[in-house]
Amino acid sequence: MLRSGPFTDERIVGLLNERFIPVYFDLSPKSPAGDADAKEFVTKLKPELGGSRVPTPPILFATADGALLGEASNYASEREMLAALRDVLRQNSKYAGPSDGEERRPRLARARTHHYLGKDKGAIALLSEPRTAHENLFMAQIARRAGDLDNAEKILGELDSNAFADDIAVEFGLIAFARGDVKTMRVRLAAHSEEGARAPEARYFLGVSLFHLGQHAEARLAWKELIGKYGEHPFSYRADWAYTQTTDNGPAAEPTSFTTQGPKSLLGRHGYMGRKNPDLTRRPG
Amino acid sequence: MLMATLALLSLPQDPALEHPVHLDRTGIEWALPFETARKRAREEGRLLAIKPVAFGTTVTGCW
Repeated sequence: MLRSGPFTDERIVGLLNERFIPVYFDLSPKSPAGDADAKEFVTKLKPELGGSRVPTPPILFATADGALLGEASNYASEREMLAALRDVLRQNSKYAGPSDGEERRPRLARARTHHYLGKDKGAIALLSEPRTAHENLFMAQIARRAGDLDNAEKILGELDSNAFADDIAVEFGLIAFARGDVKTMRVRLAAHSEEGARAPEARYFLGVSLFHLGQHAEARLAWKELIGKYGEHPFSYRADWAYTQTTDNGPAAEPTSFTTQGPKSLLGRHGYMGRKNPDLTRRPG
Repeated sequence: MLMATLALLSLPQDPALEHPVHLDRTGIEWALPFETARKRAREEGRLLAIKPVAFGTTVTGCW
């Protein structure tokens, strides 16, 4: 669930990289990702993870000396995960300071860190005018995430439409989605090139727009092609999540229990428990 | 049901299997193995963000 949800959010990935030491391991010693040291450390924090049958483990925030300071569910939404990361840093500020050399980075990189930490005023103050085009693009993203869609559109409208064509396509597509205008969303996202850096994200949300336009089979085909083309990309996982919760006729019936039997998802997963893909719920138009 | 229970296998790790982190495309800079992560957390004054996985990691997918 983390891969299909929170790990598609650059703020969460950015915070994990810049303010934490992220590590994962498989509790099973048979797995190539097994790690006996990690398992010993974690089962001291959470003894219930030491058995032969375990609950789905959360993500744990701990000191190197073994003090558990927080956790977030494996099924957390992006909003919940972001809040958990920010909260544990706020409550344990000795671990939250900037890294050596961080303040010498370009101001856009520093502004991103402020934004990841939820300090948008600080980010905006850093990016005082005159701004580069990339800084303006980031300002538009800050505005979109804050729900200031008119301002986001205004800033995007002033960007070079050729140099930033792909970013403009995605950003206007996401703004249209936030407004519940899925027709515009589809048109905008269809303009993103296959070669662009945000192509997986654009293809995923293009599928979402098709789904909300009632073109369920076309939406699922878009997600299937995305998974085939981009493999382990986070938006492949998000597409896999959407695919399993839909049919060619619309939303799929909700699973009543978890099972490792039966068909797997396109990415070979047993299922996606815990919550519905939020993108399948249309925003109010 | 939010809590899925899975049986964990207790067979020894196959050293021939490559760690699936090489497939990871999240952009997260995973610190592996754990003792390296722990050492870095100490040196850099950071918290560990530890994700134990119970669903299984395979050579064809991270988790």
